[in-house]
Amino acid sequence: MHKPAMPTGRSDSTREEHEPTSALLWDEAVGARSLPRPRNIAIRSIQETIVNSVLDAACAKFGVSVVRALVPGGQKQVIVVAGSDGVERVLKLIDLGIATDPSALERARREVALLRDIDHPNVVRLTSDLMEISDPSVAVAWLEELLDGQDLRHCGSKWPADQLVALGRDVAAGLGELHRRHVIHRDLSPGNIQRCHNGRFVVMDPGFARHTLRSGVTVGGQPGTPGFMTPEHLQAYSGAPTPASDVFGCAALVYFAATGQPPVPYKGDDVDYLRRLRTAAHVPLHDARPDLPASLASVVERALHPQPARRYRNGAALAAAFGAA
Amino acid sequence: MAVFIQDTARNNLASWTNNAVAGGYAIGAMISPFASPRLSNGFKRAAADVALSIRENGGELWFDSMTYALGMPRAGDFRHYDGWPLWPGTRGDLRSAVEQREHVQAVYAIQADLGSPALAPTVLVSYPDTPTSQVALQLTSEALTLQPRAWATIAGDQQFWGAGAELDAHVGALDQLEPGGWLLVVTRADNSMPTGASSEEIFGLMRTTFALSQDRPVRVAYGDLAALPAVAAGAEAVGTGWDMRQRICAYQDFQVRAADPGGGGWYQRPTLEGLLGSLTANEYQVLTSERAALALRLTPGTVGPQPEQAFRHHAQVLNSVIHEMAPLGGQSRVEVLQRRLDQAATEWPTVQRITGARVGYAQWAGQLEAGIQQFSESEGWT
Repeated sequence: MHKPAMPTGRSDSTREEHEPTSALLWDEAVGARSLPRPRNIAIRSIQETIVNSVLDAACAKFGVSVVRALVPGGQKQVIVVAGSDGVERVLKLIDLGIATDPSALERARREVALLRDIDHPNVVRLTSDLMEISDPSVAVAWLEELLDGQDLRHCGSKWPADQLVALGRDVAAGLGELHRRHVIHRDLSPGNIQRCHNGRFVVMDPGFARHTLRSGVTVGGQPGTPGFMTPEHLQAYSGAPTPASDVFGCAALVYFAATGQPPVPYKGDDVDYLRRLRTAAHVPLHDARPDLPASLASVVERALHPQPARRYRNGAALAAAFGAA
Repeated sequence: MAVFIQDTARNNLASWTNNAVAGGYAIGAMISPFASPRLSNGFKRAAADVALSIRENGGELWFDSMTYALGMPRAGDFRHYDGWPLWPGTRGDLRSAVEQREHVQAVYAIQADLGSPALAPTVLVSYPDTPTSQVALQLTSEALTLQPRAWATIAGDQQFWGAGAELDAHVGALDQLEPGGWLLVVTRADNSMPTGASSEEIFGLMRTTFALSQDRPVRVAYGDLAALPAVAAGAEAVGTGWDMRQRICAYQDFQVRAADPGGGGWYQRPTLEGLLGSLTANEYQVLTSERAALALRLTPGTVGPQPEQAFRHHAQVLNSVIHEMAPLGGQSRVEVLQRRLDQAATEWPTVQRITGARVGYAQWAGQLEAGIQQFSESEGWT
């Protein structure tokens, strides 16, 4: 059995999780953030031993072997594995034994239940059911398709208009499929959008998606990535994120690809960020990139409107708008 | 026609609504369980009879359950209310989805009996990101699950409508439900006229109306003159009436009070289109005697001596202003109202000097103008 390699931070990682930059914004949302840090090498060694044993068990369950790690260690591991057929897939493993977030299992179940039902070219495809490791469960795992290409963090900026339209149209179409199933992604960021070699864009990691027909476990502290949140991420009750928030998030990604900056960038000061986020104050795209067609800038600006009811209502509507831009 | 008549403590809803519909100055009426008895009580006809009469005469008839009024401080005038089968369980109990669904079903059943379009109930919200606002969202969602084409109601106090980003987020969540239309309500702590509208409230009401009216009709209940900025932002109609309690949704009007089967004294003040406000009967008499031409230009038309005539003129003023805006959209629609307000601002000092009126432009329209200004600036129109 191969052991996972150490993280390299290479740009070809398809599941490299985005590391949050703000504990204040992130603490409630991501259990991994509040994991106790290993205090010495001995403790770390014990933890790695446990992690590896769980990974071994997961691989045994699926009949796969480890090829390389994309996100090793911590609460959630993302590993490239290969089955007996030689096909590489992504193994996602949530180790309940060291997870401090009690809702980890529920999150995993929700993510898998969601993805299992979706077969859409712009949403990452699940290739297995959720498997629980040991009895009682010490971990859960599942397999996803391995996507080639790179995520948006490694795709540069100042994209031309046709590529921006393709990005917006594809991501919005994927979101539209989620929204059709009453699911909100809520955590769109460059790290979870993959640009495949064939030019297709795929939405990944709706791991914090809240299935609106079920009881959500992420109500309250809204999950999100600083720099890519929406004004609704500041609300805890009725004003919490909706499909129109994903519309904002999608437009923020297009803006990011166009300019190299999100529309409301995080500059290291939480208070300052939240203040600007409330009103979604930003430099209009037609000012930041005057060379882009007005029709494209208009779609992005409408999708970035601070009032959710002024945006496109959902991903399908946004995809249609990008298609017509 | 852009005016609908709110329910009244008097026994003339059907007859005056029918006259207004026939006269072309109202589209119909809204029955309230707080004002109309389900069954005839000797003074008022049964609601079903009133509804049938209005519908047969070509008017729209709506039943607003006014569930939001239960959330008003010291709400307690349930003399008519408790005669309606609105609550299978305890009045006001919306703790769980089961109670919410049962209440919605009861409301819809009454509306079906009366021939009213489906209008979802809601609760009163004072701050748009609280457990109460969550109940409002859940209740509306439940209602639209049962009747996807029902209209939704958004009811909030002045703080709610002035809440900024929280209001926008709450409205955004409601917008996802895609109702058939919207009924907006501003509740007030004071039942005096002119209303104590604030610029922040007007700004929020305009922002909300502008967003929601892009693809759905929006009406403002108990809106009257204070809702004209919402019309400028896209609303199609406002609620009004011949009494103050039909023009303002104020807490005092839902509190326990001594029975007054006659409905109390008439609020018979002439509304002048050129002022976008009203004068007392005495003030108007002074104006007409001292400066007849000015009075005629500002009125315009005739304010008859009877209460129904005064109401007809009031409704015609509202219709006139709204009809001027109705064909327009966006900035030009708002500019129509701004021009009218600018004109009123120049007229009021003269009128006050002649009549001695203490209430003038500042009270009637100052905050409206400020709210419109905020809205225009937010849209980049100034």
